[in-house]
Amino acid sequence: MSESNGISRRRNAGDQDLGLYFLEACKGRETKEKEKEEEEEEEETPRELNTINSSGGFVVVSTDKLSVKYTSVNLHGHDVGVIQANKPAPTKRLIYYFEIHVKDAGVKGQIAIGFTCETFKMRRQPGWEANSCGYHGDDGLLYRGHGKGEAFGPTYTSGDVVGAGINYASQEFFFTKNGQVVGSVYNDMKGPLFPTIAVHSQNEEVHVNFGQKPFTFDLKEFEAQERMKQQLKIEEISVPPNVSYGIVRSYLLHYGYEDTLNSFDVASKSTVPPIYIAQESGIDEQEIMYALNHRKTLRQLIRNGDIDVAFGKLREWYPQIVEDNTSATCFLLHCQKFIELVRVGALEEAVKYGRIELSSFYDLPVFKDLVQDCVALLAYERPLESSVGYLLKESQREVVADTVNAMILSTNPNMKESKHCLQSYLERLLRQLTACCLERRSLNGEQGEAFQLQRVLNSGRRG
Amino acid sequence: MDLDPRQYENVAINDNDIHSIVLSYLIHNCYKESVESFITSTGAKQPADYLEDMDKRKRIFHFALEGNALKAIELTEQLAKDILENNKDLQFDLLSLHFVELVCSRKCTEALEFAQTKLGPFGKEPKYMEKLEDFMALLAYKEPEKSPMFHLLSLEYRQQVADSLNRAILAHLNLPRYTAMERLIQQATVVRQCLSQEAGKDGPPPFSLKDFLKS
Repeated sequence: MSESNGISRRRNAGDQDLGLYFLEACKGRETKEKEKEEEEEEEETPRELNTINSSGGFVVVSTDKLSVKYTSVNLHGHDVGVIQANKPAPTKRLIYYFEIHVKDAGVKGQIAIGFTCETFKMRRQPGWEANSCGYHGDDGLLYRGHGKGEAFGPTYTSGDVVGAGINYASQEFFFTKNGQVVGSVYNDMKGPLFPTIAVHSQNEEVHVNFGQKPFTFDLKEFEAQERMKQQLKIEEISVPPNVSYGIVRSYLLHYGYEDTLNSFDVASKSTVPPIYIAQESGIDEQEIMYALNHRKTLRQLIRNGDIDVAFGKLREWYPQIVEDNTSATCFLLHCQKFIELVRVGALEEAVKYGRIELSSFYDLPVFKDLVQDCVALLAYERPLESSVGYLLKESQREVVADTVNAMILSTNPNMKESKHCLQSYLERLLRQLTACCLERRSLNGEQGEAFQLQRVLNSGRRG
Repeated sequence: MDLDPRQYENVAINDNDIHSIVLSYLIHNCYKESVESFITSTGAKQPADYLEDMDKRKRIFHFALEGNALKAIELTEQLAKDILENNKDLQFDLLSLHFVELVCSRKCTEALEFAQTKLGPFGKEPKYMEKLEDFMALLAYKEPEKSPMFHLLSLEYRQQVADSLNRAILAHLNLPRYTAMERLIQQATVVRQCLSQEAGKDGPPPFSLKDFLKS
């Protein structure tokens, strides 16, 4: 049994949970943001026409794979020149859209635009077979899986620009002609949907635009309008004023922002209805009012980089938090001291300090990463610009301050659940919301926009 | 809560977003000193346009809250003529506040005159008719506080009107009408509603703020 195992068992279970939570938090922060960004970029989008799976013999496709011409003579209903895009429409966004420009409507103008599935019979007009849809130029009808179409919009011919789109928010297909929406229908098609175009009479020629060139239709404006529609629906939900007040106040209490809290209480005195009682709205302030002044002091000290003084105050006021020098809390404080020494350029002192206080953590798997990153700071002339530069930012000080804050809260004998020390109601609300949105999206087969907090935060602005 | 806790334990929350949410609330309510203190204590980024007419908004809000509707209207029109012109509902509500003030000060003749000249014209539209009737009913009671319409005299009602006015001014200044916090709660409610509808019996129950806060 190695020494390190012995040490970790001596720490009590409560401390183990809380301190380590913050350790994980500062490690994971940067990578999680990047992962989110990458997910949104990964989806493939149609860029050109698929020349392999097309009704060869009836059409010829240009070398750039962005136009198609009917080469046969239209004799019957099974010699349609159909062609799909090379990839299906991406689903992880609000709307997918593409356009065609009718270069030549040929003899009969039997052009179509729509969506089909992978196994579509490539000699039929989109919409004539099940699980496909098509807006036809010769009759202006919409076909959705039957030979008989329904009245939908105007006909279209040479020179017209026609677009087809999928609105994942409303689960609808919509079509446009020359920049105007023509109509929309419910989307009940299954499976990956391929943008599809078709030509069916002599000399018909169509050019397609998958977004490489600007669309005739103002897609951005349409998207903005759709978002606005959703936003207006959401705004109809009334939020009792006390709730926002309570959540903000509890945030300030939780993290020990005593000065702001005092200003806040003075300012809100006249506006909050006098009948506001914290408990009635469900917010328990007793737990978080505990040791407000101490927590504020410690936060200020840490934010100013005064780690030694912070240690001193903790030993004086809450010795139980720092008595185990191998706890996550002590570890984070020692690292921060090290970082502060590097920050002011006292590298020799930093090395000495590291040898005394940080070396014992080097072998412990949980602490190893952070220790390595800290030590790595010494290697750079301009550490702020290096991959470990994040340690020198304000955010790192905040993590340490938050840890100490949580630890002090945990010494409150009236604290009902230790996890309440970790985050205030506000963060919990945010997490709830994100998780709900993720769940909803997965119920929708991963379609639609990912939840982006920024969008919600910015959604109030118009124009 | 019935959502799988593993789902949201892993959700990373950005401090900057949290700060934005808190600041949005403070700015919305014109708590200038609190905004400054918060920025100092947390190192949060100072939002670009937050001071935009905050002092003016604050004064207007407080006048409305006290029931001094005429002053609130005057200052609002100074800020921009079209805020009230484009918002008849708000205009009616503000004028009715003044009416209530007169009733409370027992200036009944003045109240009647005011109602006839200023509120009456609104009565042509059915939606204002009902409201107007409620207000006029106050005149029938020697002690309006004891009438069934007593809520029209309350601080809560004045707060409602003051809030609407504040939101209208914010919209005019191209700032959000609703605080980030409100939008979050609204979003959470809507999404939970959808989830319980779509998932049926197996899904989580509709969002209850109270339950959430108690959890």
